[in-house]
Amino acid sequence: MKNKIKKFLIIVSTFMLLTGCAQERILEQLGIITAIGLDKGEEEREVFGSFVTYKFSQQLSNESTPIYSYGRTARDAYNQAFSKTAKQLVTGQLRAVLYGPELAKEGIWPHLNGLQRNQFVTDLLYVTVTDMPAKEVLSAQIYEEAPNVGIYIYKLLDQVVGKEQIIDSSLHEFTKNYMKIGADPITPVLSKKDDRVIVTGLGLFQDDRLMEIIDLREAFYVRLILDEFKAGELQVELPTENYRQFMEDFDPSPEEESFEMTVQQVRSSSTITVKEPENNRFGLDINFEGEIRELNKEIDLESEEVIRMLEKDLSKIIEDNITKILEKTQELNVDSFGFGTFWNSTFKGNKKLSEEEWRKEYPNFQFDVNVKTKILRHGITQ
Amino acid sequence: MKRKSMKKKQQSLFPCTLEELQTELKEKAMNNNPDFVMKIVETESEQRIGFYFLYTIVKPQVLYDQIISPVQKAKMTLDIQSIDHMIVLPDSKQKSNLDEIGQLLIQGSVCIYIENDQMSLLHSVPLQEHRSIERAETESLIFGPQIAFTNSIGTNLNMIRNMVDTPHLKIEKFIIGNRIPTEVQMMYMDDIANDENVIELRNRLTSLRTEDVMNSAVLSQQIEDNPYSIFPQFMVSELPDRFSYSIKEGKIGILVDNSPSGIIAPITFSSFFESTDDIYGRWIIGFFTRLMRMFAMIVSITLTPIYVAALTFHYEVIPEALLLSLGESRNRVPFPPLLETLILETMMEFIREAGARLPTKVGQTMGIVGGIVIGQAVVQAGFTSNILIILVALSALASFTTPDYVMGSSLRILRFPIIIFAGFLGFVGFFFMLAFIIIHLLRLRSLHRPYTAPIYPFRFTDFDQSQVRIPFVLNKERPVSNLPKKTERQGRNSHNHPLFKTRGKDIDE
Amino acid sequence: MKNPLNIPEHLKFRASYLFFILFNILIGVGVVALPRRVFQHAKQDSWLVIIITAVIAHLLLAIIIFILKTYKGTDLYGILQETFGNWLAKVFGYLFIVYFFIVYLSALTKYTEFIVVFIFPQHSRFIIGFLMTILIAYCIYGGIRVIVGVCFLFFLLSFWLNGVLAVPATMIDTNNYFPLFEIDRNGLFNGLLVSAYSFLGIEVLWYLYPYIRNKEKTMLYSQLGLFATVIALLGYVIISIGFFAPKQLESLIWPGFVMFKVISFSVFERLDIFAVSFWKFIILPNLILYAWLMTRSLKRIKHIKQKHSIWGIIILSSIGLHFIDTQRQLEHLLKIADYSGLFFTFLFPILLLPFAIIKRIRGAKNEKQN
Repeated sequence: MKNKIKKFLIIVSTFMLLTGCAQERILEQLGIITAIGLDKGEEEREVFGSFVTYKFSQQLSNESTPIYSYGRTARDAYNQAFSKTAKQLVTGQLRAVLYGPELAKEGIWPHLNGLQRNQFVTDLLYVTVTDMPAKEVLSAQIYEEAPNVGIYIYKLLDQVVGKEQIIDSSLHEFTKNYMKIGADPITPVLSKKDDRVIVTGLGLFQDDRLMEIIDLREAFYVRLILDEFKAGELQVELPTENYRQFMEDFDPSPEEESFEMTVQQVRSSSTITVKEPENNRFGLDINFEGEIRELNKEIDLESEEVIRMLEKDLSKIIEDNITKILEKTQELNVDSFGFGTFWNSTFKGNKKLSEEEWRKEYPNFQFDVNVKTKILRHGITQ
Repeated sequence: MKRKSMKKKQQSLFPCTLEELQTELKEKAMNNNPDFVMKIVETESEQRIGFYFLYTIVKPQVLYDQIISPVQKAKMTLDIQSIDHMIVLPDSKQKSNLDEIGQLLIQGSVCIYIENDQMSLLHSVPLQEHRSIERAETESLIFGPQIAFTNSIGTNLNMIRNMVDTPHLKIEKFIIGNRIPTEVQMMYMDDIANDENVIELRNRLTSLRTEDVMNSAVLSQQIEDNPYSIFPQFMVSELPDRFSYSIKEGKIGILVDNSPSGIIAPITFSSFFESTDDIYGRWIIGFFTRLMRMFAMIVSITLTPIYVAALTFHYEVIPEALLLSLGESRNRVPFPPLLETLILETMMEFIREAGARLPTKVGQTMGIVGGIVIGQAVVQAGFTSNILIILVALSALASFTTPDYVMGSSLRILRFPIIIFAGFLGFVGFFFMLAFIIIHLLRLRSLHRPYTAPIYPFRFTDFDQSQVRIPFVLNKERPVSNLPKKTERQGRNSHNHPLFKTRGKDIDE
Repeated sequence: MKNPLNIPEHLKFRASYLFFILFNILIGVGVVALPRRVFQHAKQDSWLVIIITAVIAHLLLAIIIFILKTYKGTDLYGILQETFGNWLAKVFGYLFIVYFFIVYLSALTKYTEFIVVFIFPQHSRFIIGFLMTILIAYCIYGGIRVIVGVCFLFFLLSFWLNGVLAVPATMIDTNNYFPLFEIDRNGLFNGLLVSAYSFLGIEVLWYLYPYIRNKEKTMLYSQLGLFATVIALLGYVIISIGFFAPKQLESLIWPGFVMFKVISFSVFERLDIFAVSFWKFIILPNLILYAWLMTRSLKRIKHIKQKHSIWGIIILSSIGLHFIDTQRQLEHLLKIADYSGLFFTFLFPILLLPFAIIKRIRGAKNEKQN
């Protein structure tokens, strides 16, 4: 019996050798795409794709030229690019997709759908928009130790997300927020400066259309609302007037009207609750704890009163900024913070908002912003 | 009919003259062997006594001192009984059958015959030239008695007797081989070893029909449960301490004459990754090394297949940090990863085999030439990627951590089919082969005992002595996988004895 | 007792292995699709539906064991013979075999579908399925000892994969679970029906029971095995509800695998590729158990050697694999498997229950008279 099995196995393995060979994707024969840039094409309903690939050459040349192609959709552009390289283009190591501003304003879902459906593409890749044509950004020539600009963008975003200057915008997060009723996606905005890719801010989306780009300073408040974070720095300007008495020991008559303070966030939490359903009123409570990192004026930090005043001023500034951002989103009708989902997870049946109702209601939402600040330490000096 | 009459004729040879016996023996039983000699001694009472032996296989000193000279000096009339009493050597036989006499002569006996007697007396004075006790070569130890079995079963038995000196050590003798009979000794602790195991092994040995037993390694393959398997199902060890340790734990040992190693049965898969060094060393070290060996085993059979699978099919799984260096070094290689790996693995086997066959000193040089020079050149010529060199070397290294050489070689060969399957079906093929090997291991048995114990069947109490090693204080039971008659060990919990912890001085003595 | 089963003592196994056997036969291909299938009907209350079905399954398991205990030491075929007579027993026996075959074939096809969709889009599914059947045959040749061993060992080897889901668990959005208890009657009913499919397989006890050495522990370990399965299923369902947006979850065919897409290690990116190939270790015990059930019942009815009948099954399943080509056909097959499973797993024990009770009462009476 055992002999029979052996014979059988021999037959099977020869069988496999003859027919069973799966389609090979041998590493060095592949054009492994690390970043895709998509711009609006010249004609109507046409996209222009730039594909950054790995180069496995022995000489380390810093030069990287993406492969360019036109197509009806992102997938089509990708297929068209096949004829422009000797290597087999694959998307399994894709790290970032960049959408040019024009395309982003029209809506990126038609060009993202294909990626989301592709089983070889990881859900962890970054979805980003650019404030200049994506082709321009991807042609940046300085990318430090990274093998190509795609990996550089990936590392850049990893670093920035890790330091929590911006929020995570993986393909998974984007798709989730896009598909959710009552939430809109946010992506980082990339740009090129001095031949280098930089992060300039956050793009607020309504569904899949880019509505507004906010800068990094405002981005801090966005993520303060969104979630609990454990890192990040906030720089504020405070009027000198109120603190005059505490500065006397160091500088009897300060001339400047205001001074700068940098606070490093230690931890924060935000709670969104539906307060008064009949008035569409939400409560937004934010607890912010941080330590002072920098003061460009000497203040007597020993005194309990100063700390309390600083905390109060800080709360005020954060509150104002958050209110400003909320107003802006209401103006644009983008619910980047997912107030709609909070509403829908609180109520059953008829009170639930459908897609259209939510779009109609969102500008009418009222917010009670309540910020509590606590200064824990002030560095190693007084 | 003819045979029968021949036999009768032979039996009726006695009584005869010495010369008659000589010619009969030489022609019929000895096949005209040139080393067959006869010495005739005439005693004072004028009896003619013949001594027949093969001079190449008897100890001349013993023959003269113990046998010939007492007979020569005898004053009285001798008969076969009185000669037997005079000779103080053990192992005497009285035979009249020519075939039997011839057989015993070949094994180193001397035949003593008083002219015109009915019987002949045979005494065993074999001369065995063999190695003295030497260091273990294939299974080297760091701690522990650094001795190995020799070729002589007598010496080997002597070592085991010394190590396990209790009357409970029971030894059973078998003569195996139809053409060339060989002495085989089976030993076990009769108060510990499982009866079913003993009966099973005894039955296998008695029912074995074979021409001859070359060696214990050969015998173990002849009595295995599944002779087709790549895995050994009995352990063949050249270490007496390992052998005696196993016997003490309730296993059965077999020694074969002229063979420098013993068979241990029943055995489990994990015991091939144990070494007595783990027991001699501190428990933490033993614990760590055992886990490390298991890990090395897994590494050695999976590392290169994963490389092949990832580079041929699954470029997605390669981490970003590795991708560029892999791609760059692969860029110049003209073969697909499967072929590249097979070439390098085969080369590794060449180097290993050459090193094993050559004399030790040349072997070392071979290793250097093969490892460094060829390895370096192969990469520079763009023949393989340098990462693969690291992986192949690493997995070869890992396979050598297996204390048992047979198992280590099996694992190394096992790597090839896994690599081939990984090269054709990627991870799907890789896991297919792994699953196949696991199922095969589950199917294997050693003396009808499960090979994968104590993992399956799950015996938690045995883990402390197989996969890991715990301090002796906690180790109070024998492994139940051997199904011993008594599980509890005595004396291992001496730490609780009142005398053990007599307070001594400590601080500021 | 018409035909008492004399299982040799050395073939019997400890009841504790039932834990692994039940876990393996219940967690198979279904678990990766389960979150979507339940969510379609029950939305964020899917977990509730799973729990209700689980309670029913626990009860059912108790009923099965009760019946088996009543008929001491025989298996399903023996019970059927005693209650319905030879002829009907054979009919039911064959029906069961057909049912097992459908489940077996659908699981096998679905596994090949995973491989083809996730790893080798151009590969012939026939070969992948064929390789699988070789392993299955090799196991069946080893007998019950090897089958239980495969269940146990492959559980140990693959269990950690469920633990990796802790990574997506950290990314869940708690809003997705609220509001609680929003489900209506229709959704509840359909949800129960769908989640019931993931409990098909407890009928393995019908044939395994005679092989258990310490039968008094059967109840304990099989219920524990079922409970562990429920925990795992709940884990998959709850994590995927929180992890995906509702609309997204409904659109994904195998949310279970997609969740693996966000897991990446520094030495091994893309756990999803690994998980799909590694799923062989999870699916193999499942298929082996079904193959064993088929060959075992054939042996009971027709006295065909299991070593011979397994080849028939391999040939039939290979033919099946060849013809089921599109996703639609597969869905069709799954539907048949599910509906027949509802009858054989959920209704059949209840059908047998009265007979068992009557037998118990009679037995008690007989004892009194004696």
